[in-house]
Amino acid sequence: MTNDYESIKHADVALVIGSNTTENHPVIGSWLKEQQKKGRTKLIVCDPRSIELNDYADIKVRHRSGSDVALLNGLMNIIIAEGLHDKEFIDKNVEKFDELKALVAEYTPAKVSAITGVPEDTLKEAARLYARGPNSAIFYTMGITQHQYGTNNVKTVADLALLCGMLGRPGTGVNPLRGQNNVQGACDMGCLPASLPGYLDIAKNTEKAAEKVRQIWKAELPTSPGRTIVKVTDGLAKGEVKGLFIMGENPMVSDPNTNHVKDALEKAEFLVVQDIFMTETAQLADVVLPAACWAEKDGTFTNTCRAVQRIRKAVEAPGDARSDWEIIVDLAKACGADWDFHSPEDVMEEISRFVPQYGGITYDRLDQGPLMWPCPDKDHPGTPNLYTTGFPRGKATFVPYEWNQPHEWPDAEYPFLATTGRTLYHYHTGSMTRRTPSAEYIKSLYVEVNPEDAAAIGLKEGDDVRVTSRRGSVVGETRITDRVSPRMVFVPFHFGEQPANVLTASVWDDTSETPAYKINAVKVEKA
Amino acid sequence: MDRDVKVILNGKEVFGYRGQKILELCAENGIEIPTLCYDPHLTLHGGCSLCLVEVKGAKNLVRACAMPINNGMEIQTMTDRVFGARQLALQLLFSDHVGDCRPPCQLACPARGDVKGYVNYAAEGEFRASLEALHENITLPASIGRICPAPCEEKCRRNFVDEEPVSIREIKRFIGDWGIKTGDLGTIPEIKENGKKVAIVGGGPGGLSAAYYLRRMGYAITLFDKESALGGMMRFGIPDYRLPQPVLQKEVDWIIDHGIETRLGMTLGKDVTLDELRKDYDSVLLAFGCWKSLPMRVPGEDLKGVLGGINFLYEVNNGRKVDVGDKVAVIGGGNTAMDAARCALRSGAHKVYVVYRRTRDEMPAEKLEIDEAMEEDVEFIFLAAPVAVEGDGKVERLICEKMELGEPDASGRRRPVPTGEQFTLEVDSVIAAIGQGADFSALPKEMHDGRRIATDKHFATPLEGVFACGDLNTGPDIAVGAIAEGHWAAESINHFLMEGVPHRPFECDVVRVDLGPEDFLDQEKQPQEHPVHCPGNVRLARPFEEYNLGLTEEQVLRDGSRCMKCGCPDVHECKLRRYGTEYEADPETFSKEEYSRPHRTVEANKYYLRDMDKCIACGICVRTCSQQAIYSAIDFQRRGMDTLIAPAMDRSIEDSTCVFCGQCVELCPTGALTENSVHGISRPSKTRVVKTICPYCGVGCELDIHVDELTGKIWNVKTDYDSTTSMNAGRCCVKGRFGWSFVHSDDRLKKPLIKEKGAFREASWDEALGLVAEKFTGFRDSSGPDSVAFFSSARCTNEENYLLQRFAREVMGTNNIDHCAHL
Ligand SMILES: Cc1cc2nc3c(=O)[nH]c(=O)nc-3n(C[C@H](O)[C@H](O)[C@H](O)COP(=O)(O)OP(=O)(O)OC[C@H]3O[C@@H](n4cnc5c(N)ncnc54)[C@H](O)[C@@H]3O)c2cc1C
Ligand code: SF4
Ligand code: SF4
Ligand code: SF4
Ligand code: SF4
Ligand code: SF4
Ligand code: FES
Repeated sequence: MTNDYESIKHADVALVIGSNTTENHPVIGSWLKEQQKKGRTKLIVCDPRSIELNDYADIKVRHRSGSDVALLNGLMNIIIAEGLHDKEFIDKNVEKFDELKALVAEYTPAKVSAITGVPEDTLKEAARLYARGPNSAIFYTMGITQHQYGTNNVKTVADLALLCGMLGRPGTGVNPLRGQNNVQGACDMGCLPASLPGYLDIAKNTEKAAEKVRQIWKAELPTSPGRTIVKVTDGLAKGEVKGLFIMGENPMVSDPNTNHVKDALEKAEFLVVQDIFMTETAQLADVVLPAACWAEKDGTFTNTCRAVQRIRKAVEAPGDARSDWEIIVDLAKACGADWDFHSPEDVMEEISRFVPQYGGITYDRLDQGPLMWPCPDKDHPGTPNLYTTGFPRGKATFVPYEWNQPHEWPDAEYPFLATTGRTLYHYHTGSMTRRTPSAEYIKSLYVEVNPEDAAAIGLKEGDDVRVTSRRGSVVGETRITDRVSPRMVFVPFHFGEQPANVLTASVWDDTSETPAYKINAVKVEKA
Repeated sequence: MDRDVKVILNGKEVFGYRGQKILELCAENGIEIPTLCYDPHLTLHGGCSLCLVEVKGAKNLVRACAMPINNGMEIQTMTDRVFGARQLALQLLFSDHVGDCRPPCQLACPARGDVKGYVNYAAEGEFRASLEALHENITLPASIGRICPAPCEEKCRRNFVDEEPVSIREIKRFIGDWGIKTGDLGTIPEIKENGKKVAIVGGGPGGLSAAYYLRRMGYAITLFDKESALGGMMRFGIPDYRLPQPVLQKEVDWIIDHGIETRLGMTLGKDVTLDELRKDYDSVLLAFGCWKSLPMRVPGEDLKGVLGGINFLYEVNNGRKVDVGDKVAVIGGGNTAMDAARCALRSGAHKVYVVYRRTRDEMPAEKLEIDEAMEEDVEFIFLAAPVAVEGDGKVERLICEKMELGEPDASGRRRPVPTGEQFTLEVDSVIAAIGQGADFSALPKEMHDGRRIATDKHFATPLEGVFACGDLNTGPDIAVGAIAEGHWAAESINHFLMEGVPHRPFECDVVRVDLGPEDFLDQEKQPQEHPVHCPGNVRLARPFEEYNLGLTEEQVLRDGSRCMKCGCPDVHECKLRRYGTEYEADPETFSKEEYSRPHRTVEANKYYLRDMDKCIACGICVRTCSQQAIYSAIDFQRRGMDTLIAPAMDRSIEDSTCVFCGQCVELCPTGALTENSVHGISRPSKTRVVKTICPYCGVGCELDIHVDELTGKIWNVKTDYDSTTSMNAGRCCVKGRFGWSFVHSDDRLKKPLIKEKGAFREASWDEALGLVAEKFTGFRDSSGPDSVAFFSSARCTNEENYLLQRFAREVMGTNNIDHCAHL
């Protein structure tokens, strides 16, 4: 998020796109609802499903799944046509306005309405409300990123904010809501093939990166390009990757096209899985290492608004289980490395030297409360809102994109659109929540079906329903609800025994390689 | 805001700002006002009337939560009138409250032992925690677990299911024995001396218990006893075959190890006087019991061969052989009589009679004691009373008169009436076990009337600073009764020394007496576990050896699990009960018209329990849901006396819009809303709170993990609305609050595993990491660094993610590192 939570209280308008906020980020959802209820913030909700937040929306935009870029381009078209864009801000801060203008000119309300299914008037109202602000914030999640063209979607969101100058002030911002507790931190810490901790790009800044590694690790930086998860899976299948070490993940359930992942993992010559449970993935491992869980260790998480926060050990780990950090340190030593970390605090000390954004972060300071990065030195108070004084490289750039038809679209054989996602009650692959009271509340896979379709197919509430894509098929319990539009079904992915991801295609966004979970053509039958 | 409003608060001049409520001003000035319907994070309701204070000039008391201050206001927050009004408000709230704060077993235990707690810890195999829970109220558990008549078991609701209680006493004994067996009798805390000294006279269970609790509060204790060993009647009255002396001794030693000074062989009135003690100590507690056998008042009582019951047992317990001859008559029907009769058998007598005035049904002795005496062939002569002892220089005969039962007496038992018919028993000795009394010779006259010591309900005697407890105070009772007296007297002494007046803790308990077998039809029957029975002849063959060996561990686990965890889960946190205690509001002041109100329901969902019989209609939950959770799932449904909080249109919670964030549960001041996870735990008497961050979504809510210190396990997760370090300010969702039980799930991975021939086997860390290191460095060296890859996790910490990528890059030499964070 460019802005912090406090900033939500200052938003006159909040545009929520592709985020089922009240289910996936419930506390942020509660703030948005509270603001709207108190009449302080107007809400624009753009979502193919009629999510709960829609009940609070001042403007409801139920655009078709996969039409986000068209929708955003359409909004920008209206804003420019009506002269509502922030010319002064653009002049000062953003390059390539003409390119943007030229591209979105094509996206007339009529055309966009046809693509998205949203009435022209609604588009206009939404565009005006957002552009007029005075302070408007955008919130989005994987509804936006989990598409084949997810990166385009994200850049287009940023274009919209830049166009209206909705950055750098409380109440504005481009605010992606991170799905998992520490996705932000995992990225910050350089668990990305292309960059070192602190987003130091290895290909672009090779010399600088190598120098830092030499200085701090006393080692040589490998410069051959790393593989993303998707490419690792391919590499395993081809025998190019032989050893795989998985720390705390369950790609068997979480990754697209489960069947493909299983084949690949089985091909690994040597698979190590470090986890708290014997997950579907751990079953395939050659060595399983028992890890301490979150309540059993010290450390930090970085949340979606860049706040670094302390987690603290509350109880002892069971049996011989140990914290992930301890395991890695010992493994490094077993491989001959001369590492000298005795606590997570020792590691943070090194992080603060390696990662400029974390330069001022210490455990002592975190005991007083969260710190939002960038926090470059010990006296820096942290940065709740980014870009308050402009952009780091002088000027930002508009990066306009055309809307592309999604990779797969309903047809005669597979007439429904299935989107996968999560629910309030379960988390990710369910290995944790399915061992809590939620396991009793929501026991197994369910599929949300629109009443119209249910009637046509002859499905009653609770009936078993089969959802089949070109890649696989799952069976769940029918839930009839108008939260999904006609010809659309929603399939949560927490259930390893009926993994929704057998439906999804191995199609990825080309830039970020985020899998496209959101759009799958399927057929829906009574099971 | 300008602080320009001057207020006289409890006589002190303070300044507040315009519009500020009295309550807020008080809070700023460190004055706590009790509230039930008020919460600083919600809008005002003003319904409970607990926050009443006195404002000069106002006719009525005013609500501090609602009344703004104004210039010159004079406020009194704690006058008698205020106290009375709050007490009344509480009594009214209790008047239609249905529940039971503490379970009936606990209320039946004189010491208020946390039965539910220690039984369930035992059932979970948490023996040490069970022992610690026991020590909260019951010292000497291994000893008490052998000899207690267990009034708790009589009231145990398991009787409604199986007609047999939970084996509370035997479980207690098992736990006590576990401590002795392992040598770990419990943690002796570091004691913070408070500089005050208390003398205790009498080292029986009463004196020991008082010493223990006072010591833990920081007092320097000197324990005086006339004997050379501690334990009182448990040591010198109760025979070894029921309570082996080494068991008692080990438990006594553990108490003394808390740093208690003992002065043995010191008799009050002989070696030291009360005046001296009063001079040398800040307070004196008398706990010297009832050590005088009451006389039979019949001719021939002073013949050789007539013994007092406790005198006889005292000799036996000192290991001295008492020559009782061949035939013995024991007079009396209590436990002392049973012990005396059985010890007479063990001292060489071949025939022992017990002569009792009434019938077996009226006998005060424990049933088990009577049964065992009968098994050992003691002959019971009922409806008979001694009239004379005869003999030439020593006992030869006991003359008895037959009795019959007449009208009931004051105790409700039918009075024995002489019939005039006499008979004779040829005996060699007579043991009079008809009762004991206290010896007051060491006390000044104003402290007793010859039969009872003069104390008030706070254990205080007419002499300032002198207290009395135990058998001395109550007359002969049971050991756990003395332990209770010692504990409450310790509290009273503490109150006296700290606040100037003696005061025993007020106990505020809502109780249910309307339950019966028909309320437990859904419980599966499971019979009680019993120790192996040892036949009478075997017992007599090893006369003073213990023959009850107690329950086995398996039996304890099974029997403990029969406990139904009665009582209110909120008992330690309920504000209503806390204020009820503080304001000494007796819940029974106003009668409850009816016990169950049909429109109020107990509704369980998967996450929390709604027990609307305990709802005080404060509306906190309603406001929390609409103002914090922003769901408005619940509201006041009917008005007036019928008010009920529920989802609209008579829906159940699961059919409402409730999303189980549990925030209403968190803020509910009573046990009307409780997390399912806390049911059946009678803690948190010892809780540690650890602040951490939710492991689920990217919002990063701060959560308070509540750890049970006794087991080291999580028992609840809450949020802190006043936290200065959180970003969520108390808010959370179902996952954060209720998503933690996986932590203690049985199927957690506990050992490194290596797959061999398709199956996993356990391995040591060295072996497992050695193998991983070998394989990975092997791939690196033979196929190049990029032949290995690493997936890290958004669920691991920053530190862990950092280390894994450093490992990949530095040690393995590859950039093949990614995380599954696209979600
Ligand atoms: C034979 C017998 C069997 C019993 N069986 C049971 C049973 O099975 N279960 C049960 O729960 N209860 C039983 N009781 C009752 C129980 O033992 C007593 O209720 C309990 O011990 C009372 O504790 P106390 O501390 O008040 O007094 P006591 O235990 O009597 O202790 C008083 C202490 O004061 C000391 N003392 C006395 N006078 C002086 C003095 N002048 N100066 C200094 N020290 C003095 C004594 O030496 C003694 O140590 C039994 C009692 C007897 C007599
Ligand atoms: S809610 Fe409070 S007063 Fe009521 S039974 Fe529970 S602890 Fe007692
Ligand atoms: S069942 Fe358990 S809690 Fe209930 S009365 Fe019996 S021992 Fe006490
Ligand atoms: S259930 Fe609601 S109204 Fe009833 S006591 Fe609890 S918070 Fe108050
Ligand atoms: S659990 Fe949350 S949503 Fe449900 S009633 Fe309580 S506050 Fe409302
Ligand atoms: S409590 Fe809920 S909203 Fe808060 S971090 Fe956890 S999962 Fe997210
Ligand atoms: S009336 Fe003031 S706290 Fe309830």
